[in-house]
Amino acid sequence: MKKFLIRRLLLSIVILFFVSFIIYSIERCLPTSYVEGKARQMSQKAGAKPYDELLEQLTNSYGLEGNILQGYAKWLSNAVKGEFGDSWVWSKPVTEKFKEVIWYSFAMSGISFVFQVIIAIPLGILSARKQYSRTDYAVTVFALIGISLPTFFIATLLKWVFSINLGWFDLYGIVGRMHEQLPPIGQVLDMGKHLILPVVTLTVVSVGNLMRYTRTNMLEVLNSDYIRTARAKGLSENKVINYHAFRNILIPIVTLLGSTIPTLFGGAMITETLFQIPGIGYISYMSLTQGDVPFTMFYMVFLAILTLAGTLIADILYAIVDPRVRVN
Amino acid sequence: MNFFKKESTKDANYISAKESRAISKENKRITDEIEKKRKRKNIPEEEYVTKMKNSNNVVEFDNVHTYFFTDIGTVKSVDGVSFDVPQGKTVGIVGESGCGKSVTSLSLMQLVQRPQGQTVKGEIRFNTGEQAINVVNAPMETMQKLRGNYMSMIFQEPMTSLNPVFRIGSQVDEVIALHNPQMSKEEVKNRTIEMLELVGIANCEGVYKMYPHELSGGMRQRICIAMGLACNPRLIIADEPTTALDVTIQAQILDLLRGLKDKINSSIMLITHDLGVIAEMADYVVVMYAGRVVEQGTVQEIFKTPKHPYTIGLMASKPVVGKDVDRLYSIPGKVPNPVNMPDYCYFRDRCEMCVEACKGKYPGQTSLSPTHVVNCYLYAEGAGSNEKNEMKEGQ
Repeated sequence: MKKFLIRRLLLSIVILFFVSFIIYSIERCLPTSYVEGKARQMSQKAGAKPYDELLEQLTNSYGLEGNILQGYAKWLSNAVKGEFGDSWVWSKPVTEKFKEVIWYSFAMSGISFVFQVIIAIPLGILSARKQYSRTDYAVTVFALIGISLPTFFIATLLKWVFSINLGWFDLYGIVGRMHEQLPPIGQVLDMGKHLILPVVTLTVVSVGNLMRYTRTNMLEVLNSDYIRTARAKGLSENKVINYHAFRNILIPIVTLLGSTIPTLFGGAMITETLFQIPGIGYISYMSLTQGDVPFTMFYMVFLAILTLAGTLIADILYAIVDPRVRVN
Repeated sequence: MNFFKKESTKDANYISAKESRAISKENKRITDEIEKKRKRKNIPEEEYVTKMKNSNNVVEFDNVHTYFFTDIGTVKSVDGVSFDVPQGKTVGIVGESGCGKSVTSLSLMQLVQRPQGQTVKGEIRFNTGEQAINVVNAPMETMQKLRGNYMSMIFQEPMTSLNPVFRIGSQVDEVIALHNPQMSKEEVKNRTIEMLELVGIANCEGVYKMYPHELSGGMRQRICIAMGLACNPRLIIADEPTTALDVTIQAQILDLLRGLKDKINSSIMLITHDLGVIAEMADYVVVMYAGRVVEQGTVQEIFKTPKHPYTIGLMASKPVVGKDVDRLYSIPGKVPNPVNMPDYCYFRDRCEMCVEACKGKYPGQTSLSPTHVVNCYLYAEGAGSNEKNEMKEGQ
C-alpha cells in the first residue's frame, strides 16, 4: 500500500507539471490581457503617457516580459516555494482571497452533496427493488428531468417562483440588506437562507446521476448468485437488500462519491454566478474574464490537484470496501 | 401476399411489436393478480398448511406448473411435474439443459425470479416433521423459516454463490445465528468451525477469516455445502454441485454429500446431467424433458431397463468403460421451442421409435412397477390398444 501510494504521488507530480504548463500557455494566449486593458484605461486619463509606453511599463512591472516558457519558469519557481503572488484584480495575495471565498463554495457544495446522497441512494435502491413499477417510472422521470434540464433553467425557474412570485428569498447575493444589523446567529441564519436556492439547484441537477447509478448497480447486484444464496439462507428481504446487496453496491458508489469529494472545494461556477454567491467559482470566473493570471493559475492548478486527489481517494476507498482489490 | 403473411406469423420466433405489447400487457395483468394475492397481509393458515399424502415423504411435487411470463410469450418451464422425495433417500433429477430441473427446485424454495416467474398451479408439499406446508401458497415469513433451516440449496456456481465482500466465517455464522437465535456468538462460531471441519477444510480457523476470492472453486463449493448443512436440514437440494469442479474434486464432494446425508439423515434432491453421478448417488431417478417428467423409477429400473425413448437415448449416449465405440451416440434434433408448446409428446420429433399413437395428445402415465412410471405410448396398456387409447383421449 505504501509503495502504491508513493508511486501514485510521484506520478501526480509529473502530471501536475504538465497540466500547469498547459494551463499557463492557454492563459497567456487568451485574447483578454489584463495589462492591455489596464494600459488602455490609464492612457485615456488626462495627461497620461501614450498607450504603447504604458503597456511596456505595465508588462515589465507585472512580469510578463519574455515568452511563455520564461514566464512559466518564473511562475513555477515561485509556486514550488508556495508563493502564488498577488492577485491583479483583487489586489491582495492570491491565497488570502482564496481563503476568503472558498468556504462559501464549500458550504454550498457540501450541503448539496449531503442532500444528494440522502435522496439519491434510497431512491435508487427503491426503484431497483420495484423495477418497472409506477414508483420506478416516477423516480426515473424525476431523475431524468434533473439530469437534462440545465442549471440556469432550474435556477431561473426557482428564482421566478420563490423570489419573484412568492417573495420568500432574495434574488441575488449571500447576505441580505439588513445583514450588518443582525446579531451573530442571525447573520449565520441570513447566509443560510440565501444559500437555500443555490443548494436546491445544485441538488436537483446532480441527484439524478447518482440515483440512476445506484439503480443500475443495485439491479445488477440483485441478479447475482450470492443474493439468491442469501435468500436461500432464509434471510428477510430487508436484510438481503440492506446488508448483502447494499454492501456490494457500496463498491461503485463509494468510488464515485470519493472522487467527487475534492470537487466540493472546486466551486460551482454556473450556480454561483447565477446567484452571485461570492464563492470560488464566481470569483475565479471574474478573474478569468479579466485576465488575472496569478489567481487563475492558482485556481486551475488547485482544481488539477483536486482531480488527482479525487482519483487517488477513489482508489484507496475502493481497496477499503472491496476485499478483492486490497493491495498488500 | 396473404400467403407470405400467414407463413411469417406462424414462425414461433417471429413476433410483431403489437403482439409483444399485447403479451406484456396480459402478462402484467396475470402476474399482478398473483402478486397481489401473495402480498396479502395475514394469509390464513388453511391456505398453506396441508397434509402429506405419505408421511414418509419429505417433499411431494404434485402437478407443479411454473411459468415464466416473458414478452415473447409464456414459457412453461415446469409443466405438470409430480414426484416424491422420501425421507433419507436421494432423488436424482436428470435432463437436458433448460428442461426445468433447476426451476423445479427453485419453485420448491420459492426462489424463482418474480414477478415474471410464477408457480401458477399445483402443490409442493413440504414436510417439516410437525406439519406439512404447501410452499406454493406459503407467505414469505413461513418460507424464510423453512429456507436454510428445513430445506437448503447448494447452487451450481460456487465461484459466484458467495458474497464477495463478507468473510467466509460471517457468511456461515449468519445462517446458523438466523435459525438458532438462542445460540451465543461463541457457540455460533464453534458450530461454523465444526461445519467447516465436517466438509473437509483443513485450515478452519484460517478459512474462517478469509474472503471468498482467496479460496479455490472446490473450497468455495465446500463452503456452500457447509452453509447448506449448518442447520441440519431435512432436505438438501444440490443443483449440479459438481459441474464447475474438476473430476477429483467432484468425487470428493460427492463422497462428502453421501457421508453427510447418512450422518444427519436428510434427503437429497440431486440435480445433474451427469449420469455417472446419478448412478453412484441416487436411490430414485426422475428423468425430465422439456418441463415434464417423462420417466421415473428406482436407479436400477432406470439404468437397467430404461423405457422412454429419451431415457434410452440418454443411456446410450454415456460412455461405458470397456465398450469400444467409434462415436458416442447422440440424440438427434433439439428441444422444441418452450413458447407455445404443442399438445403432443414433446419428444416425438426426435424419437426413433414413434408409433401411430404418437400423433395424438401428450401421453398419460403408464406404471410398469410400483415405482417405475413412464409417459410414452409404447407402453400404454398393450401395444395394440394404442389407437383406441388415443381415440378415447381425443374425445
